[in-house]
Amino acid sequence: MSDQLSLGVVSDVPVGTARQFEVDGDLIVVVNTTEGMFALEDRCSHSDVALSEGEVDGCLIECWLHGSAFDVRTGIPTSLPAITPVKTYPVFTDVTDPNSPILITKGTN
Amino acid sequence: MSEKRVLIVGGGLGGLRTAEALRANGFIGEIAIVGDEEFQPYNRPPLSKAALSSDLSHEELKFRQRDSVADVKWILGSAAEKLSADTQEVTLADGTSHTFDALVIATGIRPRLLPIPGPTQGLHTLRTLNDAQSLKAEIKPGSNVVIIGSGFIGCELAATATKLGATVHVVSLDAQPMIMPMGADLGAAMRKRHEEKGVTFHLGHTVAQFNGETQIESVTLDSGETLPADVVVEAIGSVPNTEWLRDNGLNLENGVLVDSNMRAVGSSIPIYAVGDASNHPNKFYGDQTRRIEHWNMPTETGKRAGAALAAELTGSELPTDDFFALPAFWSDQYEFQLQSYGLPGSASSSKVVSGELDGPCIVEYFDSSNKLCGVIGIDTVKELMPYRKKFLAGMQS
Repeated sequence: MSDQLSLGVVSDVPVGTARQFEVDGDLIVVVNTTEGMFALEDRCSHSDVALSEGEVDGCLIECWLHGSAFDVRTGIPTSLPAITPVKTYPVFTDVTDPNSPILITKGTN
Repeated sequence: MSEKRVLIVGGGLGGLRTAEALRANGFIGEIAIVGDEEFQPYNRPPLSKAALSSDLSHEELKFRQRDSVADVKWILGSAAEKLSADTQEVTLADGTSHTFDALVIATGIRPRLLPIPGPTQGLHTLRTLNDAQSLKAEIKPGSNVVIIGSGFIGCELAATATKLGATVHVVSLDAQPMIMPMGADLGAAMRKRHEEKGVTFHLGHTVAQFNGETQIESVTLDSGETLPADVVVEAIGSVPNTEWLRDNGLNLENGVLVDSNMRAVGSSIPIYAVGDASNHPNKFYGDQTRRIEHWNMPTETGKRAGAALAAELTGSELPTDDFFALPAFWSDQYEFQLQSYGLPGSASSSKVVSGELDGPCIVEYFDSSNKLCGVIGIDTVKELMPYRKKFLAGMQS
């Protein structure tokens, strides 16, 4: 079973930026890119650092503290020191509508 | 107005970040980057860790580059040999000369070497990807590895070599590993963690002699003790690469002395210095200038230099605000993660404020006026975040 959760609306996360949302005590980073909106666990898999404070470049988000970049589409790190992926969540929204709610599925998968 | 040419000497993180900052601040002229290695800028922290335990190519370590620097001209594989500030040109080891309107010094550091008599085959240093690859080829399960020096590189190497199954001895004149950045108490606690993993320390000692024909087979310490050695790594610190800058009126006492814009003190032409070789003021250092070899400083100094130099070249006002950047280091050894903010190495006293030194912990460091000047945590990266905020807020006030 999976729950659909609402994390603000599209205009909360302009293209090229990331924003942290807290849901049931879990921190989730929503990243808006020219390829769409993506959601990941907001925690670098190398150190316990919020990725949402990092820099977004295309489909990458880079941890500001130690420099690991993650592909926001897959959660896979593209550079060291991180080696394990961060969890990703499917996002449902209409990025063409600033008022569209950002829905994510936090499944039991 | 003809386009100006910026020559950045040094193909590491500081050079790259300066180029990006020049572009971000509106400089549209030519940028050329000279590097002594054949590689475009790559990430060095993994060299003492992942690059020794797995095959890593330059491609996997290379820094992501912004689109804005796609037109940078790379001049790689030859070191700068001589600056002539009068004629505004730099001559490289390959004999070529490169003129500039503005120069950025980003030549960083190289390992310091000891004059130890004996053979040199099997002797290594660790600074470049090539260094890591030749070291990786020699560290095998059962190898006897002797590391001279107990700073971050020595300790990270000790951890990685131990994990790879080598027998590791660390020889160091210091009283505890990493004592300079973290003090004797936390240093001693880190020593215990290393010893529990099997590392043997010879503290207060140095290597007097390498023994063997052409290949080092053992090392003799100043105590007379002899240790078997298949691989020896010198990790006793570093020296800034500034010899090529001599006789140009620059202050080269400790790297290159610059002002808060990273512009060389006393230079009539635009010469800037960033990264490990930059001896700069920083609101966080008080009245002193410092040269800090932490991973975040090339980025911080490069950003400031790029902004100031772009302004100078376009005839705009140079920034007049203080430079401030919070020094930060981290180190991964075994499963432990060390993280620091500030300058714990300059402290007069310290206090464990959370946990115990043999487990996850936070240690606060105080200067001679009892003011918090740094913090180090082991496995407490998240818990340290408020310290970072506090330090940053303190610098903005």
